[in-house]
Amino acid sequence: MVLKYFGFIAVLLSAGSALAVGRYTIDASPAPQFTPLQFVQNDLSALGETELRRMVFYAERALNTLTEVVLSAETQDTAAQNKINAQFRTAIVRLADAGLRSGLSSDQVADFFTQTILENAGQDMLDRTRNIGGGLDLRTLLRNVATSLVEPDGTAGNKEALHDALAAAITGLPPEESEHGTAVNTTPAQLARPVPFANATDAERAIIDRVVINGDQWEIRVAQGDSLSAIASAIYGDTLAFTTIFEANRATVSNPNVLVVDSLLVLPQP
Amino acid sequence: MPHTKPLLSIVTGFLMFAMPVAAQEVWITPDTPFVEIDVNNRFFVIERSADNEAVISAAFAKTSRPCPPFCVSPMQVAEGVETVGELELLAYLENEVQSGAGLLVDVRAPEIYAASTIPGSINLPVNLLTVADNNPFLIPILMQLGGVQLDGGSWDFTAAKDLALYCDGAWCEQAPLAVRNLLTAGYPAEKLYYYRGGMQDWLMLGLTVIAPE
Repeated sequence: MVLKYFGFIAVLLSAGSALAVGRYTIDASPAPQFTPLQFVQNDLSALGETELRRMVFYAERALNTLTEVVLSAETQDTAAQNKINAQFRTAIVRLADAGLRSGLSSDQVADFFTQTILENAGQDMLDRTRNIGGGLDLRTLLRNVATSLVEPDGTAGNKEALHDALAAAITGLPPEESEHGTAVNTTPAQLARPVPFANATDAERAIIDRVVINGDQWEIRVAQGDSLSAIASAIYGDTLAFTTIFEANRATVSNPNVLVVDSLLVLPQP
Repeated sequence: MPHTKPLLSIVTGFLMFAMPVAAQEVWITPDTPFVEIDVNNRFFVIERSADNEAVISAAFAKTSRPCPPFCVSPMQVAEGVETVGELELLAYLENEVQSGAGLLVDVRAPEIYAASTIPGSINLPVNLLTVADNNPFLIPILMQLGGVQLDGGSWDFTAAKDLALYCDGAWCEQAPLAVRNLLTAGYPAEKLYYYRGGMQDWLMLGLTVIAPE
């Protein structure tokens, strides 16, 4: 199986520009320049067939999301970018995790992913990832993520290491709030504040004034006397839109009629 | 892979913690973010759609197909045949199907199966299981499943595989019919499982489906 796999790669490499195939093809790609396959020296022969299939599965999934990250980065749709970037982070962690469960080193995981990208999408995809924002260094990303997962016992140190690895490696992607409360990247574009409706009452304007921007979402801290319908009326101009807020906060609000003072509500943007 | 699940839980659990701006994660249970299976040289991840706004496809939204034949099945389809839900089916895939001791059987028509089904399943259309003299397929199928035909035509199913059967949902008749046919043929009830929810419940929970090769 392993030999077959590398044989497949060799065939693809000899096929030259036919490398950018199928769903991975992106338009206007220049002639691919192939880097030497330094990872052929990696000893993956210890992988069982199941483990190899698992690696291929997660590597291809990561490549799928990476392709969308690259395409999305070339648009102005920040909501779509945030969504796909989150999927990409998940895919990368799952790939690194699968590699470690198979006994691969973090370098091997990184090489495996590079190899998957070259095999399926070509050098052009690697080049394009370097054009995202401050540059996306996949090898460093994978290596750091995998390294930080080596002792996945859930201790705070490991969590920080994994987060920092993700945050540091994906410098071109929109920032996230780190678990120790500091923004890890510069904010590219500040989300606009909600605007009061023309016929808003003073109470509704007061509610809007209390909305804070956190990353790419609006939030409000519950004060004495607040209700979901009052907030909905202020933000969306419709008391019945309390369901929108309720749905977005199901994790923390179990009853829409009962709010906890000082708790934080997410307010979906209309 | 006994350590797999806790490890994955920690990893994915951390993801939730670290990424407050992402949509709410959609796990299978509080301890199980997803299930990995490797069946017949194919690797699958069974998970739930991560899209918090996802809805079931129109093909499975119909409530009122004519009955008969699309009638409501009882919870227990035959005596001794256990009815299972999604978690039991996932455990069955991990334990029985992965080891080869059991099969997950989609008893719908081949073209329906080919469009979309549960990962790790095989297709055994119910009309191949008809117990009738004019069904030439029944005996070879029973032998494939591990049955041994004895002199005089009776069967020894001691070494036969466990089977978990399903069709489109609680309103489809193929799986109950297949269970009854197998029992008639002598298949032991304790080797049969009925996934009553079928494709509709599976999809209703956003679980992974595949188009088999």
